[in-house]
Amino acid sequence: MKGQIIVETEDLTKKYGSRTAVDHLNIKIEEGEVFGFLGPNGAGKTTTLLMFLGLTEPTSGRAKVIGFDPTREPFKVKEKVGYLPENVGFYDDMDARQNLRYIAKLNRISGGVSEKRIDYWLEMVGLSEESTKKVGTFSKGMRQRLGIAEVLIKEPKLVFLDEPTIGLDPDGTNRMLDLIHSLSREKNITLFLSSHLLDQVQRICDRVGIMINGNLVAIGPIDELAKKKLGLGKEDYTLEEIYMKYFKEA
Amino acid sequence: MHGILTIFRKEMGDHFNSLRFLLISALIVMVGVIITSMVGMAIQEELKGMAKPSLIFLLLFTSTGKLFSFVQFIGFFGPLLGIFLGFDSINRERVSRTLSKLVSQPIFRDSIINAKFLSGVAIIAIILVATVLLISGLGIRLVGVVPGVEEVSRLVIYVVISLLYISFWLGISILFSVIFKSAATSALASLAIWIFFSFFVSLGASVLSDAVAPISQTASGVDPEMLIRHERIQRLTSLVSPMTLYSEATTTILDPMRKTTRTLILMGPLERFSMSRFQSPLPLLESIFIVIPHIISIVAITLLCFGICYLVFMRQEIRTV
Amino acid sequence: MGRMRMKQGLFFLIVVMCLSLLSPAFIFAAEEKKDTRPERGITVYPEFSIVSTGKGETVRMDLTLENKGRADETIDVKISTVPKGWKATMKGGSYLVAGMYVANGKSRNLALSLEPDKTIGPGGYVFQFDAQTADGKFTSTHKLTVNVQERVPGADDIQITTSYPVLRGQTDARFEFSLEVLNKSESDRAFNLAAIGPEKWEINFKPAYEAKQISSLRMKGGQSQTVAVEVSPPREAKSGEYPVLVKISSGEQKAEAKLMVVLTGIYKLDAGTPTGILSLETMVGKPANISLFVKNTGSAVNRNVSFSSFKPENWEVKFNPEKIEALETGALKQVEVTITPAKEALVGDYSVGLLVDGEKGSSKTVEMRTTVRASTAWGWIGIGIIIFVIAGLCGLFIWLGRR
Repeated sequence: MKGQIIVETEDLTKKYGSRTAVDHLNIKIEEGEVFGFLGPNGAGKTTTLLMFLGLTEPTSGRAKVIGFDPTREPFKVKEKVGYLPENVGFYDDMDARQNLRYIAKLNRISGGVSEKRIDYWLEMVGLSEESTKKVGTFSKGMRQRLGIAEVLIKEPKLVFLDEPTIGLDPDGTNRMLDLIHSLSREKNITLFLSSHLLDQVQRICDRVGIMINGNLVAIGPIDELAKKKLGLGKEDYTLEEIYMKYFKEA
Repeated sequence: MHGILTIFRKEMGDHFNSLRFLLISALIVMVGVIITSMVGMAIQEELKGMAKPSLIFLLLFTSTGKLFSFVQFIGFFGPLLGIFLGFDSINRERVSRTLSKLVSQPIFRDSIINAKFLSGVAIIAIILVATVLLISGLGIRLVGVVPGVEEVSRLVIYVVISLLYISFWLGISILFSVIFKSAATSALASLAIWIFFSFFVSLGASVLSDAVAPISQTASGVDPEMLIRHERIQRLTSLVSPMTLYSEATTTILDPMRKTTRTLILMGPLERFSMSRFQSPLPLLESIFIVIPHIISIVAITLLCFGICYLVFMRQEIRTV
Repeated sequence: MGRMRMKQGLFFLIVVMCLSLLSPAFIFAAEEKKDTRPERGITVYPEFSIVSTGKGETVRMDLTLENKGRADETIDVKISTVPKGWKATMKGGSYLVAGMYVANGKSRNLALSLEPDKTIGPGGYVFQFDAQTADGKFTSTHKLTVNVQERVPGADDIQITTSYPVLRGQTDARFEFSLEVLNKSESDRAFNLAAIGPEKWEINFKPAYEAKQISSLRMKGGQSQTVAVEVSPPREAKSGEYPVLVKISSGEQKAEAKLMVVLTGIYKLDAGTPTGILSLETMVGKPANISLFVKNTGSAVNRNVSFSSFKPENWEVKFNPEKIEALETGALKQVEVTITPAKEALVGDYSVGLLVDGEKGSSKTVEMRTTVRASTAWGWIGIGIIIFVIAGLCGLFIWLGRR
């Protein structure tokens, strides 16, 4: 299955006034891989994701997501691409099921199918017990898992996860990462996570891209990057070391 | 359209479940019923012994009774209804971070603003129609006069104008909910606009007209030309306010004997005599023609307001703040 | 005369005046108190000294015998000179008289009748009257000249006089002439009244101040009576001069009076709209046209028919033509009327009066119910604005909507 390009950009640039948030980004992501998009806060990760979804127009350059230009055909992109924003919000006065149902309706999933999928995904993210509770009472971890369920209810080909583990306790983080990992393996969903929490990314990513101040400074599998930056033979590397190396250079 | 419909349904549900909606609609219905009962009973007294009264029915809405008429009440409190329905519609989603999630669904982004606006309009329509029907029912019961086709038509037009007018305020408040992140700020800004148009425009109009065309109380009395000029300036200035537009339009449409939206008319003795020869209520179409400029203005400002709202919303960067 | 002498004192005057009212005889009694008359004296004289008369006409007058003296006299009287062909008689009552007794200071009348022969032509004829006392001591002579002239019509025994022989008026008016008919003859007579007027005209005789219609009239000799002639022209009569000849006859004698009626015709106008609809609709400030017909329903030419209007202030009502120089009887003329309501006019029904004013108070008012409608211009502008705004919105939708 691997080998088909699912995200591709060509000198993708976004400027806010004089400030360049994303500078001539060229990236290719293959279907089925788990891609880690790394960088400090404000490096332009979220901007890039918004451009992939057509929620922000690039200043110049092009992007192609699942074969469509998100600027021209955002509708097509959004149909098949899930996006879990950082600190995802819910309608707190509705319960988990109602929230999911609303999103399912917006994705034109018919009533019977949506109920089945809601049941399935609530089960998968471990929220079946809490499905009739108002989301306002949910913990951070539960909300994040509900967010995953919400993204997956439309059965996307590609999911963008923006800081999926931020603000979670270690247990929550682990459960989250396991969930993401299993998605990639079992459902063959291409995952694109942006994060500044490097060790977590390292655990599950096939490839990473490092972005600093709008520039993609490195891209490739973690071991390749390690070889390149830390020298050959160093077996016991962390992503953090590679990252810091790049960060200092930038 | 699918997106609009889904969001519309959800918004309607939200409105109906909110305490806010319950309170304001209860207030309007209650005040409406109280006013109508008072007016209705007064009319009932007056009608005793009259054979076949005509044009009585609309008096239920326009007669001021002891306090104010229903029409005046809606003119004054209708904007509040619009503001209450819209002041947090966008920024609530923004604060709860559901907006960015919503826009990443396969819907057009304008579905959100359209659906929000439309659901507000629908709610206003429901409240208005329900109240008018309630008052009509009560009026028929109290006064015993069944409205004719023309009276019903006038009422329908009244409801439509009111709907547009309140929708204008809904648009204003949605606009502020787009601009301001905080619901409180947006509510305050909307209320400020409301207060400005309700009180300060009329105040400013009278100050301006006094300055430009002062009415001097000379021994020979007031110069009618000056009086008319004074009145005209005051009127034109106060027409800036949608509230004036609305009240002039509705009082004219609901009162067939009103032949102009103006309040002061310079009329020569010959003209008065000439008019008094045939004293008949205006046909509906004529009333409509008189208030057409007003209706158009209301429609235009409402659409304009919504357009601005739409533009601002669509041009905004959707960032997870 | 006697009263003049009574002016000797205010009191006396008043008394005598009061008394004189009561009894004229008393005055004569008072007169005799101062008798300054001669012992004896008589006079004879006819009523007139010279008279003119028509040919064949009998001259009648009084012949007075007066005793001017203080003694009573028996006076013989005779017509000493009678021209040839004349038959002169003096009558007292029904008798031919040749003498009579006259008390002193009195005078007595005899009816003198001078009857000419058929042969008597025009010319002067002298008659002489001689009177003498029974003893022949006192005589009196008086002459009467009768000038016989060719017979003058109307100068008969019947005399008709009228103060106003020509009357003017409208065709629908009634003309009443007042004729004074004088019976110049001595005797009672019945007079036939007849009149010749234009065809279809109605002419009636009426006694003055009475409503009854008469066709003959009886009058005592020498009396006069006022007769009213009422002339009613037919409605269709045209204006013009119409002579009416009134003939009054009694046996052979007749008199005529020429009367004249000058008809000015009836001045009457009618006006209306050709369709009969007296309402029109217009917009505020927009002129509305209607056609107005003006018809001369009178019988006279109506000159200078002008138009005016009763309208609210600041309204404009224009007539085209502004006036009609002359409108023949029965003629119909169309006038275009433009009614422009004021810019400030209210929507509703106004009453606008269109006045047609002709000659001699002939006028007609047409009241138009003018419904002022609100201008629909705003409606179109408004639809334009709405379309513009909606187009703007649609533009927005297209520009931004597909996201």
